[in-house]
Amino acid sequence: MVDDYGQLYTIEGIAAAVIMLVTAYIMLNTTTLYTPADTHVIDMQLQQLGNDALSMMDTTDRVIPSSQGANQSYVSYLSPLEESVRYSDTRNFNNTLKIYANSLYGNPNPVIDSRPLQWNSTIYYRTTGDSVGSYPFANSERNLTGREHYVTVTRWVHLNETPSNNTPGLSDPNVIIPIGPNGMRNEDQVVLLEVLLWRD
Amino acid sequence: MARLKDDAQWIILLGFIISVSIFFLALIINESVLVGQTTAESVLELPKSDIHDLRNEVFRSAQISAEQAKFNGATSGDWYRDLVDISMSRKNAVINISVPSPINHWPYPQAYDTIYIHFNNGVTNYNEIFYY
Repeated sequence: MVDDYGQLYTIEGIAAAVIMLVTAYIMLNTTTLYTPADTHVIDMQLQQLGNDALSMMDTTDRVIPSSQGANQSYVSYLSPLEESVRYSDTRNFNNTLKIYANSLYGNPNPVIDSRPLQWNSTIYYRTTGDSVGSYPFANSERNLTGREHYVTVTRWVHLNETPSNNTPGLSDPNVIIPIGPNGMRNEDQVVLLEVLLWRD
Repeated sequence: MARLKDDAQWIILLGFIISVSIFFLALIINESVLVGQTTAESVLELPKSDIHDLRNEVFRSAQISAEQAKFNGATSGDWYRDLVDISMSRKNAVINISVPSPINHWPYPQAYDTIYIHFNNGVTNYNEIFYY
């Protein structure tokens, strides 16, 4: 004889199974994925930091004069970055980048360097022969050995004149600007500043 | 079956549940590595800063050319070819820029001029027509 005493238990069991399945489904679909920091996230952040720092350095900090002279216009004011490239002033470039990207809170010579970043930069230009030439620009304390895991950030720099490295008090004698048959053009031009950034 | 002792059935059931949950946790951990990698790579791959910088430079250079033409009538150098050549060489990006001749600004500027910017590095394509 078959009885139906178990029917209520069966319904309860099915209901419990459905509830458990729904719970498991919701739980698995609302899981936040925690990303370990050893992937490319660090590179991404470093690249963003470098681009932001260069962008800040390429902002001119002078106001437009109210009465303009005959040959005076506001675009003739160079940004600190353009000034550094124009006069090969690597000392100013290094100090500014150190303050901006290294986050030293305005003190370029702290006791403890919180985020020691190193960099090595090169300037690329179009030569008179329509090829692309380069010369080394500013670098930080450490030299580039080639084994660093670096990211590349770039910035276009407009030059009103050919850069020089014979301005007293500003220029870096180590920056040798190639002038000559394969050298830079002596006119209004745009060069590319390429900075390799890495963490020490 | 009736004579069999089945007290251990709960233990086996719990064992199943635990192993399934461990399996799902492992799946999630495995995914998290992939998510970080692909997210960071896609951000690194997008030439956001390149395009920002290119626009900034084109507008500044066009302004400088216009100012120079206005003040001393000088025509500026072909700086846009610098952008094209160096982009190809250093960034693997094909760009094309069309800027109005600065002589249009002299002695009186027109109502507006048009700058065309095209950028393509094989992954991202960016085109812009800018009136200024």
